[in-house]
Amino acid sequence: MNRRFPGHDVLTKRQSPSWNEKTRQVIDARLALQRTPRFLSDEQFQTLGAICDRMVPQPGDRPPVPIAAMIDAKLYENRGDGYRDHRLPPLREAWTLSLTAIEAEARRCCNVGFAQLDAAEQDALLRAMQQGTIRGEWSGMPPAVVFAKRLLLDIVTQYYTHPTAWNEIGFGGPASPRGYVRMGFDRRDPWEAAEAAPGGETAARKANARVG
Amino acid sequence: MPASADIVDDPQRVPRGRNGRAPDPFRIGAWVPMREFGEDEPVDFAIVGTGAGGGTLTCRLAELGFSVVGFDAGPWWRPLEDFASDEAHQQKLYWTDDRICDGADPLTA
Repeated sequence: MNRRFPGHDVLTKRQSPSWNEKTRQVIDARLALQRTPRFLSDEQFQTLGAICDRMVPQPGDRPPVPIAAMIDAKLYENRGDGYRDHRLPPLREAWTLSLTAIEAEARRCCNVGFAQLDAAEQDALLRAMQQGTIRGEWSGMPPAVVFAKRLLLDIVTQYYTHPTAWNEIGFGGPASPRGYVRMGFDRRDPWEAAEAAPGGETAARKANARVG
Repeated sequence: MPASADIVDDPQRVPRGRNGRAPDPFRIGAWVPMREFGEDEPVDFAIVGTGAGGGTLTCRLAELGFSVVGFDAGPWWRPLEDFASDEAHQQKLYWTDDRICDGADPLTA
């Protein structure tokens, strides 16, 4: 339940003048994304899913954003960012090496795969990676760098490309063709989400029913 | 534009700016005339990269009557129909081959 932007759903605007045909095509394809991996192995995909669950925990009362599948699609299409830190290998290599290293470290410490660890153990392992104290075979990649500039970057970026995440933060979604018109502070364009003031959920829900 | 036309008219596979015409940025599916030069023909200016700087300069010089050739490695997008209003989708605007970031104070990454 979205308490902060009650009733806000960017997809209700899909057929309104807020969206054009090209935008509908692109977002439809994103929502129809295949949920089984095409690039990663099943085991790597499972590890990735467990990492995503800890990095961006999602509420249980709505379908989750399929972050792991979105990252697998990026890897499958080999969609680079156009830049990378000199301490890291290219996109695909950085991910496969990392997932293998994390999985191996889970097995070394606890004799199970990363996905089978409990949440606290998973957090401890990811924290050690973030702080650069994790052990294991990293093929020359500094674990803290690969954490910040590969794992975190891709997981968070992919999450926020999904309409479900837009609803959560009250993002109005596609701005063109309508465009931002009310540019002043505390002004909201008619196609943007209304945020509930404390106790003002009913008013915000009513306003969001009119967003189009 | 119908989906079937998209497949034929894919600027990532087939260059759009040729045969004396270029995409019209203001009208869907339309063209504007474009002057072309033979490979052996001398020109006043050759501009490499037709982004915000090079494209504008190419235009201004041509308007002033100079002969100008603009080079660009990327697709010739049609702004009205090739872009969804979506941040992730518009990554296709960028040059996404690897550039390596190094040094004490790198600009990105």
